[in-house]
Amino acid sequence: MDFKRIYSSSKTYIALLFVAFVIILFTASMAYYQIMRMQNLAEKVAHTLQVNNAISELSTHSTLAESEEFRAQIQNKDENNTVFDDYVKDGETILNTLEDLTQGNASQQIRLAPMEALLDTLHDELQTLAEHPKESITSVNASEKAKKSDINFTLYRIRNIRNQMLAEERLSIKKTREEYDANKYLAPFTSLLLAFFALIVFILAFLKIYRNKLRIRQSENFLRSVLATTDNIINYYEPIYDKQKDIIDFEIIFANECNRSYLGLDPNEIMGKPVSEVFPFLMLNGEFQKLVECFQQRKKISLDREIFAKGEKLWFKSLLTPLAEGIMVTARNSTAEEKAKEEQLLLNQRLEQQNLKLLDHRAFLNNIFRSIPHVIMNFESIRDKSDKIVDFKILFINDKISPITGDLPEEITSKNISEIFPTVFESEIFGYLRNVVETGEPTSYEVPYTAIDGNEKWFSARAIKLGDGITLTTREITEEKEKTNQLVQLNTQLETQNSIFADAENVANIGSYIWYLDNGEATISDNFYRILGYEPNSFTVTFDSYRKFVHPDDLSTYNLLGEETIEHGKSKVSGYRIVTKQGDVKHIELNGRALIRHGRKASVGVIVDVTEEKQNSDRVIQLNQELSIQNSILTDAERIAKIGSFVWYVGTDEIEISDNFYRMLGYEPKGFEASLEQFAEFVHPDDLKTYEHSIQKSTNDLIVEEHRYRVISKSGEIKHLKVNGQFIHKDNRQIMSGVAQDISLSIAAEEKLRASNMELQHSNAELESFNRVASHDLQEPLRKTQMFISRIESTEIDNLSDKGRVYFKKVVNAASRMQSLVMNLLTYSRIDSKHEDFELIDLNEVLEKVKEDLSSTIENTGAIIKSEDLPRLGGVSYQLEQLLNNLISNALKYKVADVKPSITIQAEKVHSKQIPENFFKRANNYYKITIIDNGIGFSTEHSDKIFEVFQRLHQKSEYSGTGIGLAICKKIVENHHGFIYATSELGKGSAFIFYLPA
Amino acid sequence: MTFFVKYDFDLACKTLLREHLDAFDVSYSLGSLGEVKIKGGLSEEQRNSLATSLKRYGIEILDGQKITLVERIKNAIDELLKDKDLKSIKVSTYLSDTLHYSYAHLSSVFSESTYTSIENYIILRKVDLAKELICNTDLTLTEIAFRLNYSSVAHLSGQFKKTTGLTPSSFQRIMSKKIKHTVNPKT
Amino acid sequence: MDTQLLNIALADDDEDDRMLFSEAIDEIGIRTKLSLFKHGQELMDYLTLPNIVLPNLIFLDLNMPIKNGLQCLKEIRENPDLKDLCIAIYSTSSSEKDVEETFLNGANIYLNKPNNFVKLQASVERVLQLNWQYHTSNLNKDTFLFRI
Repeated sequence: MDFKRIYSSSKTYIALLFVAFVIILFTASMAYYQIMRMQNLAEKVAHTLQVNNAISELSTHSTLAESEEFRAQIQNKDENNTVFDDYVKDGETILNTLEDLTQGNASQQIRLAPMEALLDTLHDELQTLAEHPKESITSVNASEKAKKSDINFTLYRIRNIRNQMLAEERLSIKKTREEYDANKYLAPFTSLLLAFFALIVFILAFLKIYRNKLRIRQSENFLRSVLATTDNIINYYEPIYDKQKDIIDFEIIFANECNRSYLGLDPNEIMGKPVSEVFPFLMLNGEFQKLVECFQQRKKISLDREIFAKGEKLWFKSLLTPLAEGIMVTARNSTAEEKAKEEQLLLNQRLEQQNLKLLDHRAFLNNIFRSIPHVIMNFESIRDKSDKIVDFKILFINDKISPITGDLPEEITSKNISEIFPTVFESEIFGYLRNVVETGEPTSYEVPYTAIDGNEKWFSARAIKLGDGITLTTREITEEKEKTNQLVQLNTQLETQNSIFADAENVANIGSYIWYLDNGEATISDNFYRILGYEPNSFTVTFDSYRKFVHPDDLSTYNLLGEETIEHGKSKVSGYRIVTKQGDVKHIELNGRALIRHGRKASVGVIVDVTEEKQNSDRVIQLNQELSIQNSILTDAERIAKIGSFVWYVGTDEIEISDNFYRMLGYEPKGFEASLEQFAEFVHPDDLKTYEHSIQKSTNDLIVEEHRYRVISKSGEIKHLKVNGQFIHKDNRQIMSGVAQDISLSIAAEEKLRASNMELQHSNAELESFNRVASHDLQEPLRKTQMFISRIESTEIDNLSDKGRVYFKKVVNAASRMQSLVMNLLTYSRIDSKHEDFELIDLNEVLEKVKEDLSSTIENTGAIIKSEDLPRLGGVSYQLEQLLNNLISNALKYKVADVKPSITIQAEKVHSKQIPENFFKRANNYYKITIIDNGIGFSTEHSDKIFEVFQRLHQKSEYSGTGIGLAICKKIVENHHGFIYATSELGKGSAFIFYLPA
Repeated sequence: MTFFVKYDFDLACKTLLREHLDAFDVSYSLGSLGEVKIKGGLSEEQRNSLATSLKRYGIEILDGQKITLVERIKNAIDELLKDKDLKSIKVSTYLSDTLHYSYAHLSSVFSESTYTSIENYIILRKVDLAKELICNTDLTLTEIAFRLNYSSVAHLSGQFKKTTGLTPSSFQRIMSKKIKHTVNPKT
Repeated sequence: MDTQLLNIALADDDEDDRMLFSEAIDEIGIRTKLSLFKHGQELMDYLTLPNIVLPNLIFLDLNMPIKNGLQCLKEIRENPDLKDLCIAIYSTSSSEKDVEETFLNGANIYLNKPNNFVKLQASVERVLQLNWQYHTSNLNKDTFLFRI
């Protein structure tokens, strides 16, 4: 509603009304003026008429003097003649009248002026005539005649003047007439016009004012509804004065509905009451002074305040506005805002904390990114309309990119790779990346990139899918690449070096050979010839022709070398003696390796003439000393670790074993003469085959595999040994040095574990087969029994004797007991530890369901079940239901006779460290659920026993039950990785407590 | 390849009926409850040929007043369950108002012909709808309960379990497994 | 229903069960014709005979010699002529594994053999009713799944 419009328009219309009033006033005055003029004109006409009348009287008067009769009458003297005097008086009266009438008319006055003289003359002449009475009638004398002609002459002049005056008056009449004619039309027309205008303005003004009045009424209604529906409290107070004219209180003149909704005050009731009574809190906080201030100083005051109303803390923002004879108070309920503010504040704080954490994380991550040499990038896929990836957006990139591309991470973040790395689209890489996002399979590739410094660098990149994008880790591998290239170069260099090598051989007493294994062909280096005492290439070398140089004693070694190398490509033979052309015996050490040369298998190697070194044994002695020190250390270590070490001269019977090895076999160190053959005596007969096989393998293949066998010690104790070793070349002989560890203890533990595992598997299998048996085979005959029982019950029961019916009843009971037993066992065996069915379960709902299931029992016993708010946790729904069902039905079952069962269920969250009970805690937090009853309880000594299968503490006749219920509970809780136990005292109720991971 | 379709049964049937009726060159109108009105009627021959051609689609022309009435009751119930606005109406009132028979009569005809009471049929039908919604939509149980005018999820679950012997969740589990099973029977 | 005779088949190796079943079905006020089979193979042989009237409803025991219930179920569902038959599993086993497996292979109803004759009657009657409803009403056969 546009209040301003209403207000301003009424102002205009008041102005208009005023204008209209002025116009009417003007019109009225105009009309008055017109009328006055008309009246004037009329008076003028009347005056002219009067003048005319007077003139005509004058004329009559003078004309009378002409008449003979009059003259005669005048002359008649005898009678008491007054005619003449009357006549004179008449003349004077007329003249006076005329003079009076022509007072405002100068020209007529001038004309009239001689008239008086003329009349006097006439009177005089008539006087004269009268004084001479008719001497005789017949004798009209000449004097008389002269007199009479004088009179006539005077009369003539009088008539003349009269005629002039008449003409003058006629002219005046004519003029007046013209004026009148002009006024006659103009006056009514203008007044009518103006009157009309005034009327129109009046009507318009009235209409507008009326409409405004309607609008004002409307806006009044609007305001009223605003007051009613606003969610602000709007009250109007008027001050209450005391005798000193001081404001002591305010009276509530108006209060809107919001008082009720916010403060619970009925607006109708509080209107008319003093503020101090309705809002006592106003008087407390100096707010009253504010009200007074507002009223007296006529200023707006706003204030925030917090009040308690309807038992709640409310916030109000109030605005005091002076209005008319009082003040208006608008109070907005800002409770929600204040609360929101508070919440926001809290949220802000939390956010801040999170931000800080985030910053920490970010800083941490940034440090990582900074400290690694990899370029790490995170891209987000950009897809076209058909959802195909067309580009990637860079979401993150660390600053390792800068030295490569020269880009700063900040600059290229959130740009597209098409913009930054256009080369990606030229190669396969974009395809790889797209593939990663689409398949989720990480991929790796290598790619060259021309870096900012103009060098081509190689990068190895690995892309892993992350969300709808990829994380790309790139590592520079230029160096590695270069190494490969260098290798190629190296090869060529090697060729060159080869020739140098030939010379070097000479110097270093080294020879090299290539020996083709397929036919024994060989080439040897020049220096090799020289070592043999020949000129280079002076004979053709084959494996067999070379044999003649081999020292006769070493021929078997040489043959072995030949056999082994041909078979395995290498040989444990590392040296032999040769006899040169000159007859010198030389020690040769060789080292060869197999390779394919020109498509043929070959052994390539070097030989060194070590004759000199052989002769020089000083160093060896020194080494031996060092070794013996180490040996003593080793011996101690061996004893502690139950390790024995040994040295075996491969291919011979000769062994050396450490002191501890002797002890392990039950002997004093060096308690027997150690040999391979002797040692075999200790080996457990069953393992002898394994033992010999490993010896064989070591001898033939020079391969040592970790192997185990048992030995029987001197005292008959069986020990498990774990043996491992390695080959070394010592004193020109192949030896195997190794350790044997006594692992009897761990083997025993292993054995035990395996046994119990087996047992478990066995019992599992048994359980499964039981499950099958119970679910079908066991149930089948039982079901049929029951079926026929039901048949007999409905059709044949009447044919039984009383005793028969009793027996039959017992059969029915036994069968149904059997049924529940089987069902319970089934339930027990079916609780397996598969967790695929774990889901979030509200225990409150489970409890409700259980209560519903047990409702008839609960009703019958009048039990009271109280429970706290139970948690939601992961579990198998039907198992948890079974758990609560069993525990609660137990509590109901084992009740004290004639006492109403009362069951209390409590729940609390505890940290695993706070749980005193000893069980494997895999979760940090657990829910502790406690079910307390007031039943018969049990003695503490049974508290473990009750959870076992078929453990019953009571006679069947006392309390029914199968003895599996609590075992089921235990299994369920354990299946949920929890723990259950019970505490009780006989006759004092019991408490079942279980923990489930939170 | 295996894929799934969602269909509007009502629309499919009506379209099919139209196609077949158009072939007879008669003017007809289709009512909402499986009712077909034909101006002037059909000759015996036309009727038989229509019956045969419709039978292929599992649509039967019903004979006999009782069967017709039973079918109309069923159709009316379907309408009732489909239409949200009718939920507040009492079933008995709705049926007797719609079909212009007393509810007692309808009830006796129905149980006589189907061995099921109208109430049981409605429960079965509602559960059937719930099954369909569980299988073919992503609606939660709460939404389904609301849609089928159950006072609570518990009420729906209870009735579902009572009627089918399965809880809604285990039914859902079996059906989703069954779909997988049908797609790939080897697994 | 009043005009039709309901054809029912039961395959169960247990003679007593067959007898009890047939007694139960006789006492239900629904006109039925019951065919009994000693094992799955016998049932399958019958079903695949040419020109026979197919049963409206088949009750299948699970544990049967020669051919068990699950095999029969699979064969029926794979046979284009038989695949639309309504099949109720009638077994002692209440193991969830059996229930689920048979449902997955297309069973419509899983009925645990009750241990009481009255219950048997009630259950069989309910199966017949359900079958009838699915046969005559506009119910979705894809979700025809009941456990009794």
